[in-house]
Amino acid sequence: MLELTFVDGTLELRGLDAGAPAPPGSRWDARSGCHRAPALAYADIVLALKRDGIELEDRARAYRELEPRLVLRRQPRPFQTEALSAFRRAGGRGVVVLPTGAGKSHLGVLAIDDRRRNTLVVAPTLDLVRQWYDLLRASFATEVGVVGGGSHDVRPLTVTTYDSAYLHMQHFGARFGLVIFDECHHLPGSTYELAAELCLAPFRLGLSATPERPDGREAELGRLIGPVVYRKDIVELAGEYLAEYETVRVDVELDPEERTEYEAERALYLAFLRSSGVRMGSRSGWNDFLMRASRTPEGLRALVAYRRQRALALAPKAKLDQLELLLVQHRSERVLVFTEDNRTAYAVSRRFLVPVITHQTKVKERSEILEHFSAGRYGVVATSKVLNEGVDVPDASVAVVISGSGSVREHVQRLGRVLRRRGDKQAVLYELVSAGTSEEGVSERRRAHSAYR
Amino acid sequence: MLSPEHVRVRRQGKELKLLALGGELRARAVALAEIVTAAAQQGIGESRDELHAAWAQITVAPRERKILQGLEKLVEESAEFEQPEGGEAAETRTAVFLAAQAARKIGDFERGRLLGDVAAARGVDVPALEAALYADLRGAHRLIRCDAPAPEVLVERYEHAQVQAILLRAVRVICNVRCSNASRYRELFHKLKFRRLMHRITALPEGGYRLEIDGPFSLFQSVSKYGMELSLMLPVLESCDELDLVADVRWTERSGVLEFRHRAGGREAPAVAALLDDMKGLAEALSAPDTGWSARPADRILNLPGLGVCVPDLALTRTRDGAEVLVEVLGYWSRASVWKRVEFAERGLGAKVLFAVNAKLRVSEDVLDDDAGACLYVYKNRIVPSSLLRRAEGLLSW
Repeated sequence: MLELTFVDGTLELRGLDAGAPAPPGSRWDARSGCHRAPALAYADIVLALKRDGIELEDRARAYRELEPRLVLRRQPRPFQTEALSAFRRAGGRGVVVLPTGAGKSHLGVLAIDDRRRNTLVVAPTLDLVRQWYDLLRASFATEVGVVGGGSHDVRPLTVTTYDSAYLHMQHFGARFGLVIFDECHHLPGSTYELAAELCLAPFRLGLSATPERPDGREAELGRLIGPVVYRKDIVELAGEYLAEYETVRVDVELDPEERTEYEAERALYLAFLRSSGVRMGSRSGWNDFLMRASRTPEGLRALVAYRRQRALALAPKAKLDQLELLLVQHRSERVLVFTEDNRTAYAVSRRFLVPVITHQTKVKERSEILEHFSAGRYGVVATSKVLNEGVDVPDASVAVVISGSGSVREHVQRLGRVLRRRGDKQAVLYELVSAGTSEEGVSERRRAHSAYR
Repeated sequence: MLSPEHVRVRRQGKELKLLALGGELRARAVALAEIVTAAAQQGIGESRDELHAAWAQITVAPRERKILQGLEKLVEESAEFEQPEGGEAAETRTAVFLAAQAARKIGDFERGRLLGDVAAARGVDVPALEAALYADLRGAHRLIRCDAPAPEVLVERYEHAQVQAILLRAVRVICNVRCSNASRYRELFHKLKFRRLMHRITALPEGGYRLEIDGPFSLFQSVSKYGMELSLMLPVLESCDELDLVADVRWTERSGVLEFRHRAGGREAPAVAALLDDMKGLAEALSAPDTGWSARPADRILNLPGLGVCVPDLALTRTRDGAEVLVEVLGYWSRASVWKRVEFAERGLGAKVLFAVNAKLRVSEDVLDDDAGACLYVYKNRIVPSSLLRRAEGLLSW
């Protein structure tokens, strides 16, 4: 009889000779004298051996049927029911693409109840971990484990971050039958994808509003989780299931002093690009620029110039003046202010005396800020990128993007923060753009999505 | 610890080479070390952001930039910063932001007046209130001490730290080590075990051992997941009298796997206890007066040509006749390691050896025959000294 064990994120299969045909995903490992496979291959190996009538003692699987029952049953929306059926039809492996605010977490809860296996939820930030923790506790009326942010408590229902999953999956990757990758576009990549490889969960659900990645590696999701089994876009759900919204682009002007400095620094930077033959639009453009810039004093100066002209375009004085007007205009609403960098987020906080959430904000303070925001004691929260994804701020109806990257995903997610339907809420996203600067091009790139009608 | 960004390397074919710090450049590095340290010592009482701003004023040639940044990192690591309790700043923020929101809601927000009101209510002036608002941010931490070594020593540290930083991206390490005494090998092999790295140990004909170190998943992909563990092994490896190391390094996404060579040896060993605490407690319990046994750290390494080596933790001596049993505690490390020990025993270890294995590994004591010269002791929660000694007695009776 063959014996399968889970060893540090891999599967050891004993009982086959070195020359015997290797089961799917496995190969002979002379270091330990057995066949070895990534834990990801667990389902394939077990099914293949079963199909071939080979007896197997499965010592790898350490997960059980989930004992706690779903106690908080919300009526699923029709598209959530459809998504769950599609996931089921795909054998419990697949990616569901739904816009922010459409209830992806609720779908996750439904999937857990459907599979009824010990489940690990992997989320990108501690705020999302906290949110999943609250949701699972309320939904299943049971203690929920947390790994990350100083906690290491593994339970039948556990929530963790991608960072912690990468670090610890080799230890607890056999203890879950279902793994849910929230915001699963984070998964493909040389580090995080190991979290999926070192886990043996046969059932896998990926959730994302925007699975596409600039590097095209979303194709890896099929191997790591499963194919896209269901998809709905913002425009398909706006109005009925998401709040109605509008997006407003506000052009601001650099003041004369800023304009002079901007033009001078930009000219210096562009001259270096021309003389060194670096094409920033190419795939390796940024790396080429850094490499060439680091070789000469002129290059180093060009790097400083690049940073300065960018900083001037991203955060001229006029943007903060414009923000002041918007805060007055929307003083009775909940406003989220997004920036590209922490420095600007803190500048907003200091000038307007509003709370800020960055990666430096401790979990306890984050929770307090979001609690005050939800209760209306705070009307404005500034953030750099921490609140881009998933964090549930249903009461926010206004988003002001002071600065950001050219990423479509980031922009769509920021819009998503204010789209959760509540009554007849009308959401609005303002995008402040420095006119006559490179930011105009950045703005064009990030708006390349049907959500920006 | 430095990060790969601080390392000065060049690629030569499939090899990654550290750029030597010699001649003029070395003199310049020492001068930079002096400047970086002086800036830190003069900056005592100032914030981390101010220290970084002072360092940003140091002008260097492009080829000196990584040296400067590496030296800054090492000096910052040797410095001590005052880290105010976050609670006080957070509480100040809450008071200010709640008051600001209340004012904004009724259209009465005026920054200066609001700060003045809150400051007065808290018994401080406005600048103090503003300074307290984000006093807990990392950049606001005050520098209170800087224990950087002499500039020459700092540069040497930089050179050594570069090797460790390269290993952060290592996917596999192969090295030949030679030590003058067995206890050094024991420390080394135990450290490998502790770090849960996969390793193959082969005795070299000319003395010493060849170690091949990577992780289980390395079979499928060259991953740098084990890089931190490999990097942390370096000080122990370098404490051997001779070390000849070859690392496969995935230096950049595009570079593929490159080879990095490093020779060293005889460095001061990192402080390692002769026995880990739990092992020490076990040795004491086994040596209790009424047991009839004494236990001490084992100093033998059992070499099985073609198979590897076995590194026992303890040597038990029966008081009445001096008979010896070696003990290796495998705990719940891995089933593969147990099977390997079984294979060792079947081939003949040349000594009586008892392997203590946690029941979680689900291995039966019966897998070894009575006359194998070795036995398994499977324990549930903790090793029970009397049970272990009973098996040791049994082992000697064959």
